[in-house]
Amino acid sequence: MAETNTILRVQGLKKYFPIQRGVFRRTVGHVHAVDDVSFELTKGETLGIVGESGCGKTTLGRCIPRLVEPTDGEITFSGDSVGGELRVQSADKERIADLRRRVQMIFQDPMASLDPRMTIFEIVSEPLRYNADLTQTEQRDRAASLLEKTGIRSDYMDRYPHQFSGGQRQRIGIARALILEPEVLICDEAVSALDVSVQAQIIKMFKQLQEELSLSYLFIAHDLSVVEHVSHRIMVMYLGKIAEMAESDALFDRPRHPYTESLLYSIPSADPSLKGKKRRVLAGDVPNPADPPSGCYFHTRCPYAQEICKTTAPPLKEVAEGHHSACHFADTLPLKGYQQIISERRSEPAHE
Amino acid sequence: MSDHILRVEGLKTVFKTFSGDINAVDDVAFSLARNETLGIVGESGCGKSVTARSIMKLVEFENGRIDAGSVEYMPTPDELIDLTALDHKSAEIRAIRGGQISMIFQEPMASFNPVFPIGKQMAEVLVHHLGLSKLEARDRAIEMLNRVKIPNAAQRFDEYPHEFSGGMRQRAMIAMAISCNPKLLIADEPTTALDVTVEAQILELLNELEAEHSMTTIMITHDMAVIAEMTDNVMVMYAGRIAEYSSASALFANPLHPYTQALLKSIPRIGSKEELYSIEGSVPSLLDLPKGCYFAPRCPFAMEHCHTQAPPTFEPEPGHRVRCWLYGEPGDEVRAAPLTASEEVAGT
Amino acid sequence: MWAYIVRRLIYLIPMVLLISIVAFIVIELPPGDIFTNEELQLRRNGNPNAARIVEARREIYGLNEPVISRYFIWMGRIVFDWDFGISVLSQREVTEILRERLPTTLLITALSIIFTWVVAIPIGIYSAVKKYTVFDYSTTFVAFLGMAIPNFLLALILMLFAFNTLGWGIGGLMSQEFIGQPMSMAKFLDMAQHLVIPVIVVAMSSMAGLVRVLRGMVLDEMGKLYVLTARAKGMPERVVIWKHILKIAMIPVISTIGWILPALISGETITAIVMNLPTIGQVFLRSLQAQDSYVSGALILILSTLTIIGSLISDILLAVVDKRVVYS
Repeated sequence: MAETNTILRVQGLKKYFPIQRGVFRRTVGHVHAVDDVSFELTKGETLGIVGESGCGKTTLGRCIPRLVEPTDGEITFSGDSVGGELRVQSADKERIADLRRRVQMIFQDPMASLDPRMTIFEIVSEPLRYNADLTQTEQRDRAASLLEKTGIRSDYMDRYPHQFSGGQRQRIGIARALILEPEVLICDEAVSALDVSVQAQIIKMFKQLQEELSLSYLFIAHDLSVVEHVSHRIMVMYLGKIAEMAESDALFDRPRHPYTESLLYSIPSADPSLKGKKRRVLAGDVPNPADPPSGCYFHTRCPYAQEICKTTAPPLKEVAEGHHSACHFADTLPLKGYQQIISERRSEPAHE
Repeated sequence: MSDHILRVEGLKTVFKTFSGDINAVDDVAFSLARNETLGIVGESGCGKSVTARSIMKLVEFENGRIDAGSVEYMPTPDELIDLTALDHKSAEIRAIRGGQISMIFQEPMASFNPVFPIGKQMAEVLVHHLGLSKLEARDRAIEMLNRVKIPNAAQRFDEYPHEFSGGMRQRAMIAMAISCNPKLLIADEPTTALDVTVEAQILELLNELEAEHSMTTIMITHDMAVIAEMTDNVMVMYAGRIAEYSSASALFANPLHPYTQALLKSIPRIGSKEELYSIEGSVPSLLDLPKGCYFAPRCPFAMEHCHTQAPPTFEPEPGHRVRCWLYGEPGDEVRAAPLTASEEVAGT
Repeated sequence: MWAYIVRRLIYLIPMVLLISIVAFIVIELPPGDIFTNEELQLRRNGNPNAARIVEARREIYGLNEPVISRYFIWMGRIVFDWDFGISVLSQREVTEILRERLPTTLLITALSIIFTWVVAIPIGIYSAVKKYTVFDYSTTFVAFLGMAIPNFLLALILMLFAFNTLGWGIGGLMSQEFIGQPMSMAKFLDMAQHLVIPVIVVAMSSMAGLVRVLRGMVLDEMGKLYVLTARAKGMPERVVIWKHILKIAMIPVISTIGWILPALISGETITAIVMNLPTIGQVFLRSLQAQDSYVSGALILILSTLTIIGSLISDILLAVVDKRVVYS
C-alpha cells in the first residue's frame, strides 16, 4: 500500500439492518443499507460521495471509524505513522483508539454536534485529554492555535456554543476534529445546513486545510455543485450500492450510469434563460431499501432499462481509465454530460 | 397599468422577545402582477419568511405585529382589500387564507399533523372554504392527489403523514394548497428539505400548475438556482430590508447590490474551477443591527456615509431597484409605489 | 397493529404470575400472623392454653402449611374458584367485602375523575393560550397549592368550612337520619351534598398535575409547523386548538390513562378515613395493619393486575390515537 500512496482501502463493505416483524419479532429480512462497497482513497485526495435519501452514504461514513459495526467487509488504513497498516475490523480497544485518532468526523448539524454545556475550549480540547499527555497550558495553546486556524478568535475560547452562529459552530467542530492531527476527515453533509455565503467560507477553509495539513477527505453530500467543486473523484451511490465512480470532470462530462445522468438533469442551474423550460425529470420515488427491486436496483426508474436489467444486478466494472460504472450498458449508452444537458434545455420549449 | 394582485408598501414587522423588539421586516415594498412569479431570496434571518407570514397575518400568532405599512390584495381588478387592517383571527382573513391565498412550507413532515390522515387534513380545507360535504370533499381531494401524480390516491387518502415519502408529502401539501383554486400561492422554501431529483419533480410540478391555473406565485428560497429557474422578478433581502429588486434576468446579468454580487460569486457552479468568493464576517444579529446600511460592515465598496446613513431605494435602471449609496445621492431616491420590474421595462 | 396487541397480551401472563409471587412474599414478610396479637393477649391473661387455642385457629385458616404450598393453595383457589379467601378480622368472605364497598369507591373515584377532566383540560389549554396573563398565573398558583397540600388536610379544612359556614352535614356518605332508609329525593340530595367535598379533595391533586401537563404540551405544540399550516389554511382558532393541538397534547394523558383502573378500586385511602367514607381503601389499610393476609393479598393482587391491564389499555389507546407508535 505504501507505494501507491493509498491511505484508506474499503473492500466489500456491507451493513445490513435486520427487519423484525410479527408477534415474536422474528427477523424477516434485512435492509441493505450498504451493499458491497469497495473503493480506495489516496493521500491528499478528496473523494466525494453523493446520493439521495436511502443510498447509504451516511451509514458508509459511520462504518469507517467503526461508529457503526459493519456486517461484512474490510477497511484498511495505512499511513506513515507508527503501526503501519491498521485493519478496522480486527482492531482491539487500543487500536480502535489509534484508529479514531487518525480518522475524524464532522457532522451536519452545527447546532446539535456541540455539547451546549461545555465551553469551546473544553469541546476542542476534550480529545486531547484522553489521547495525549499534555499539561493544561499546552492544551490551551493547541486549542487556541487550531481555533485561529479555523477562523475563531482564541479569546472566545471560554464562551459557550449558543453564543456563536451556525457557521462558527461548524468551524469549532472542525477544530475539534483536527486537534488530534488526523489523516482522514469524513465530512458528513458538513456544509448542507449552512447559508450559502457561510458555505463558501467553510469550503474554502476545507481546501486550505487540505493543502496545509495533507488531509484526505471523504466528502459526503447531496448537493452536486458543492461536491463537484471540492472533490477530485466522485462516487455516486444508489440504494446501498455504487452506481458510478470517476474523476470529477469525467463524471460531469460523460457519465456512464443512467442514474448519474438523471442527477445531472435534476440540478437547477443559476441560468435565468432556462426559466420555465420543460426539463426531463426522473419519475417515481427511491424504492424502499427494505424491499429493493430485483436485478439492477435502478431499473424501475431507468429510462434505458432492458430485460436483463430486471433480472441481473450489474457488477461494478471499469469502463474507462479510473472510471467505474455498475450498468450493463455503460459502454454503449449515449449519456449526456452536464454542459450538453444545459444546451439541450436552452432549446426546449417553455411551459405554456 | 397592468393588473396587480398584491401591493405591499412600507411593511414593517416587529417581534417581541425577552431581549427586546426585533425588526424582522423593515420597509418592504413591492407589487405583484397577476400570473407573475416573484422570488424572494436571502439567507437566514433576512426576513423572507416573515414577509410572507406578514402578508397572511400569521405573525400575530407568534408575538409579532405589523407596525407599519399596508398589504393591498386585489382578488379581481375591481376589488381591493387591505389585509393589514383585518384582525388576524377574523372570518374575513380566514376566508382568504387557504381559499384565495395559500401557503406551502419547507418541512412536509412537520407541516402535516401526524395524528390525522392526510386525506382528512385535505378535506378540512375543502369543507371550510367550498362548503362541500364530507363525501364531495373526499372525491375532490383524491382528484387533487391524482393531479399531483400520487399513485393509489384513493388508498393514500386514508394514510398518515409518516407513511408517505418526503417528496410525496410535499406533493400532497401542494395538492392541499391548490385544492380551492387560490389566486396566489406562497411557497416558503418548498424544496429545501428534499433530494435533488425530488426537488426537480416538485419544481416541474409547480411550473405546470402555474401555467394551468394561471396562478400568481411568490417563491421564497435561499437557492439562487431555483430563483433562476422559476421566477420572473426577484427581491433580494438582507437583515430585514430589500437590498435589490429586478427581473431575474437582469439580476443575474447585472447584479447591482454588492451583496447580490457577492452571493452570486459564492455559489459553486459546475464546470467552473474558480475559487468561491467568500464574504467576510456573517449576517448581523437582528438584535444588534449596525447603523446605516446593514451590509456596510461586510461590503468591499463601503464608503464613509454607508456606516452612518441607511441608503434609500434608487432606481438606476427602469425596473431595477437598489438600496445602495453607490447608485445615488440623497434626493435621487424613488418614492412612489413600485411597479413590477417587467412593467417598468415595458414602459406600461 | 394486531401483532403489537397480541404480543402485549402474551407478556401479560408471566407478569401477573410474577406479581402474585411478589404479592405473596410481601404479605408473608412481616413476622407473625393475624393471630400473633391474640396469642399475646391470651398469654397475658394467664391462659395456659394460649398456644393450643391459637394453633387450632391457625389450622382452620390453613396458616400452618409450609409457605410454598400456601402460595399454591391460595393461587389455586383464586384462579379456579374465584375464591379470594376470608377476612379473619371480620369473618366475612373477601369477595363479599369487595362487593359491599365497591359501589361507593367507584362512585367517588369516577366522579372525581370526570370532574378533574372536565375542569382541568380547558383550564390547561386556556392557560397555555393565554400564557403569562393573570389567568395563567392564578391557575398555576392554585394548581401548585393543590399539589402541595396533603389531601387529608384539605379534607379537614373543607369539612370545617362546610360545617361552620354552610351548615352542611359532613362525614360519612349520608346524614344520620337517612341511614337504612329507602332511596328518596331528599336522601339523594343529601348524599350528593356529602359527596361534594370528597370528590373535590380527591380531584384536587391530580387536577393540578393535569393542568400543568396540558399547559406544557399545548405550549410546545403551538409553535409547531402543522399549527401554522392549519392557520394558513384558514381554520378558525378553535379548530386549531381543540382538534389539531388537543389530540397531540392528550398523548401523555392517554399514555397514563390506564392507571385509572386500579385507582377506581383502591379509592383515596387517607381522605376516606378522615371523612369516614366506606371505601375499599379503608379495608385495605386495616387489613395491612392487622395482617389479615387473605384480604391484603387479594387486594394487592387485584390492584397490580388492574395496573398492568390498565397499562395495556393505555398502550392500545395510544396506538389508536398516534399511529406513529406502531411503526417504531
